Amino acid sequence: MELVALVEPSKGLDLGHMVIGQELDDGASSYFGFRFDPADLPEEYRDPKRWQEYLYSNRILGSIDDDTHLVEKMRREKPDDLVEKRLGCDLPLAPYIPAPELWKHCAFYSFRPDDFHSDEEPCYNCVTWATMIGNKVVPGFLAPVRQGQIKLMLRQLAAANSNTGETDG
Amino acid sequence: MVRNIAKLSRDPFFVDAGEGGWYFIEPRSGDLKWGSALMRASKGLAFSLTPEPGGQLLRLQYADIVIDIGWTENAVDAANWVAAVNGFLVTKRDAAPPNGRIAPQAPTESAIG
Repeated sequence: MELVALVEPSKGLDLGHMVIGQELDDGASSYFGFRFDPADLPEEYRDPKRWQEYLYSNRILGSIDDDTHLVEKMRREKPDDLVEKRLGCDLPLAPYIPAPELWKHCAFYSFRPDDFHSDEEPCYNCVTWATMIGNKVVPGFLAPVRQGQIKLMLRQLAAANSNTGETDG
Repeated sequence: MVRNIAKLSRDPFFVDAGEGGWYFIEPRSGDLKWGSALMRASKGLAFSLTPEPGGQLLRLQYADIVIDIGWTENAVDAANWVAAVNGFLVTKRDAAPPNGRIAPQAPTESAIG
């Protein structure tokens, strides 16, 4: 089986997303991501044009979600838009994912998660959460990137793929 | 807004808005995913079509948030899609959040893996 980190690059107001997952030898897969609910933003910042403005200097509660169906759909519809890193591993991902009843509001979410993160009050975005989980399964799988910037993670994955001769998507 | 052409698909419901990104509706929960945003069906999600000079504008309403997704190319197909997706979302509106629990104010390391 393989551990897989997958990034959907940002486009316009779509901020992009990163997930961590595992694909088994029989083709079965599971993917998970860390997300925020825009309804949890203060009323004056709920317009998508203002999400970044608020989340670059604040935190709100975030949630884990199962992104398996989303990844399956994206792989069918837009495989060339996705960037990934995969590595063979013997350890299952599942023990590192909290039980579903603990997913909602399990940690804080920010676009500058490094500014708010502590052991007592963890704060992530999709990139730092996926990196944290992936590195628990395979230490050193991903190098943490500053403030979980998706463009820095894309650069890392692209470089890893060019080094191994793999292709994106 | 950029004039994105929204391509609509079903099973599961999905909108490809080109440069506007992808809108995906989880088949089990009805929750909508757009980038890293998670919009919960239980809080009220609905699509609509608004006639504009350039065609039909596909719009998403979530709680008190309105997102103009893009223009649709075939008004009849788009109307059918909107009716179908809204019919599906209504069935999820009053469902309990799938992972619901009381939110802690200070999450702990043990809760996130």
